[in-house]
Amino acid sequence: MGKLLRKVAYNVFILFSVATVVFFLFSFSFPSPEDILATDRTDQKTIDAIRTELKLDQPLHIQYFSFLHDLSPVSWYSEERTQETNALVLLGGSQKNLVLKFPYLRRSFQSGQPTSTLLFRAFKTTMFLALIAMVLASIAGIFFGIIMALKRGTLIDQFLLGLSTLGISVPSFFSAILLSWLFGYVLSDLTGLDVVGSLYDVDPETGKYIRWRNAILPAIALGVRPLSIISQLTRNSMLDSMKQEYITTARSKGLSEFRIVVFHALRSALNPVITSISGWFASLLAGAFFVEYIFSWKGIGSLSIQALETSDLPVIMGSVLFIATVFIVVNALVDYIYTLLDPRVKGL
Amino acid sequence: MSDELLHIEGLNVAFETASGSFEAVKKLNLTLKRGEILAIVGESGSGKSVSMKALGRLLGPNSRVTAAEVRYSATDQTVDLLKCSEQELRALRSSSLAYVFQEPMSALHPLITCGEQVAEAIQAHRDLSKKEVRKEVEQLFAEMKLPEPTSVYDAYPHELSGGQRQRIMIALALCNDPDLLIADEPTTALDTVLQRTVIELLTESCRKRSTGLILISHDIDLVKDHSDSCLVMYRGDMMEYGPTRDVVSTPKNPYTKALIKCRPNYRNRDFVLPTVDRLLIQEGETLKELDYEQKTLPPRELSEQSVCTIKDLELSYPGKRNHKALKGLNFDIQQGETLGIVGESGSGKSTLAKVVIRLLHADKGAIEFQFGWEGLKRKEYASKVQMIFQDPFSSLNPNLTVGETITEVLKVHNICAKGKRKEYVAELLEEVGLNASDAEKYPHEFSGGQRQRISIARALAVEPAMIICDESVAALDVSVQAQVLNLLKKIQRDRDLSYLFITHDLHVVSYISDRILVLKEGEIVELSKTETIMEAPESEYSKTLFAGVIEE
Repeated sequence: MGKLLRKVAYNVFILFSVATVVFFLFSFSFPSPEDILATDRTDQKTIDAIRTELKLDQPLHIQYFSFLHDLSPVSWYSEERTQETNALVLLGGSQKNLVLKFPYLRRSFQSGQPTSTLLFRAFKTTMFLALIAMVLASIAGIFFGIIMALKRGTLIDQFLLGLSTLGISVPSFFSAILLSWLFGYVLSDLTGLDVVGSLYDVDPETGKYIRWRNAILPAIALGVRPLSIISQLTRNSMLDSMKQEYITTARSKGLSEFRIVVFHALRSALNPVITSISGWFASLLAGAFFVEYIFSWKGIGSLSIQALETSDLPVIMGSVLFIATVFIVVNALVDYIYTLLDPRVKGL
Repeated sequence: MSDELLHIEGLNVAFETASGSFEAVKKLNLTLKRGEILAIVGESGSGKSVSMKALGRLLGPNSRVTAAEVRYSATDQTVDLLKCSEQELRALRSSSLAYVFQEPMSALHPLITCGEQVAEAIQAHRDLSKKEVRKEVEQLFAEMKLPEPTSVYDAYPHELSGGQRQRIMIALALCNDPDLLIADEPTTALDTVLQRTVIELLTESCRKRSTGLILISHDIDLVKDHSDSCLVMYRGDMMEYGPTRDVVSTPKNPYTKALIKCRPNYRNRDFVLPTVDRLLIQEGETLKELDYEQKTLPPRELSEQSVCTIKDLELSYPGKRNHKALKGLNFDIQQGETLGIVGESGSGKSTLAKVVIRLLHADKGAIEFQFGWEGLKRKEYASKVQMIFQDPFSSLNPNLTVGETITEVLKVHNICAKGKRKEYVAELLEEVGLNASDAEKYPHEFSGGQRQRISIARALAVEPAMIICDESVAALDVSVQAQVLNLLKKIQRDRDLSYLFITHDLHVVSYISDRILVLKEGEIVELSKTETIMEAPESEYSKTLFAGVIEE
């Protein structure tokens, strides 16, 4: 239990550090928000309102604390603000309440929508893509890895090894363009796929629906590198575990070759593979900028790029924080999975 | 059903390596009767385990195994193990032909519970329900004298002790009531006291079931009381084969004789140990015995002055406050003496070594040195007290040449003028029996014994007053062990060094030590002169510990 608390505290500290770095980085390096927001038609009154909301009229440290106050799940809110945000009152005060709320990431300069709404919407589509890509890459990668390890030194091994090395070296924006052009344009009559396309499509009669096939090409484009890396990792890890003495023991027990490979060798070869899978999964969740951009897939990646183009500060800061959170959560999950897979790793 | 279980004729094993073919076993013949216990003895590289692994076709794909005949008579069929199909062999494995390997930690799967690993072998050969299998496994665990079979069933290998793990391995081997069990150095990884109990358990279990047993060992002492026949191997050749009693008491082959002679023990402690290469010479195909004159070690004058006094030393590991690893030790180490420290694993011998070399800090008590060295900083302290580790393979950095390894020590301690270091390293290497030109080589170019010599040279570089040898000869073959022991004795005399010699090998400790300290659960059971402890031990514990060591 103490270990769990320590771990949570540690991760909160990381998030806090990221938030701090993000705040100061963007406070100094970006054009001031009022310049971005104010157009010719904006009157002084609006500008003043923005300044007050973002506390730009205050010194930097006050701005910083206000930023943290917005982020923190526990805040002091006025009665009015409490009502407005549907926050849960922990402790009622005469003027301000201590409330529990979802971290407030402010509103997009561009659309005026809350950043968190934008992020969640984009995250759903990214999640969808990342899941498909990683499931494909993991299954195929582990499968090919086993084949290569068992057929070590043969032509099949050489061929798959070469192919996976190619897969590792080709940048995703290149394979994305190639896939999109080849299957979405040249062969589009055969495949029925489009060059670009997003997850949701709108049907005039039934409304919004999910277009599965639009996910195929981007998922493959995203999955190629993880697949190649997973298959090579599995291969090496399997070769290593096949050399272990307990494999000889398993063989001396008269077990079938299949059982030896799957239940004994693969089982202990899986740890590094899982580390890699989780790392890739986290980074795909963080948004595959190039691939999403090329297939005009409206996920975290495109959202961030768009925000950068328009200097939409709350969205940029929100994305960075969000991505950091995704990494922390995935890593924590993987640590937990390790304890399930390997009894030698002490649980929480 | 005939009486014969296994008949091997002309077994050859070769390995294809990058540098050509290497013959590991040449023309091995043997016949094993049902229920017979055969010991195969030899040093590493003798081909003893390779030949037995070859029987079950457990060698890697780069091996080439041929034989005129390997006739194996299982209960219901007679087959040639090398010629039968993979399927037939798989059916025989475990159900008729079972193995126990040397290091149970690596031979058991780390991620599967002990019970399941045994259950799996039963299920592969017999059609039983899960419940029946579990019951059978637990019974077997009880027979192997494992405490609480039910909880051991669900335990993972790392949660058990070394001795318990080996009992699991034996249970695994016996679970399908095999006709033949091949045990490859089953007790080498265990400490002395356990070694005896485990080997007794193994032989008794086999006798009870009239299972044939092939016991592979490097230690002829260990197997002599437990086997019917004995086969000695050397560099892939069969040296001698016959009833154990005859082989041990009246060896005919020069190698067997050498092997027995070069064992350190209490009786020959005043002599330089003969080594295999001094005792025989290869002439073409045959080995010839050399005349060997036993050299007596010149007597040593031991000063009564103590180098190091240890007072009320106490230590417990973090998280285990209730369990003290060391419980108030009091003793001293005298100038120029060898103090042997023996004890079972977990007795605190290595902890003691770590405290003395300051890798660990004692909770209580003091280590006092002559000239007040205990007040020295870590670095200066290291120039007075050095350590030689057990494994000569992992204690040398593979990326540094021998010269660099030793020069590094000289640099750190600022010994010897820069220009003279090369010369000094050469002197050191020659002192430990290597060539000055070896300084340019990397550790992998040396054998285990040579590497241990390098470790000794490195320790000597700072001219220490005391060297801690933590199982320093345990990983070495008998003949190499003799060389290193001779070297240690010679250096001690030349340099008036004190040794703190930690080992679980009672023969070695009785050979090298002037005094012996027996540790048990962090306490001193006895500290006496070697003669006293060997001939008239004061405590019951040392009596049982040293029983059987002296009779040669």
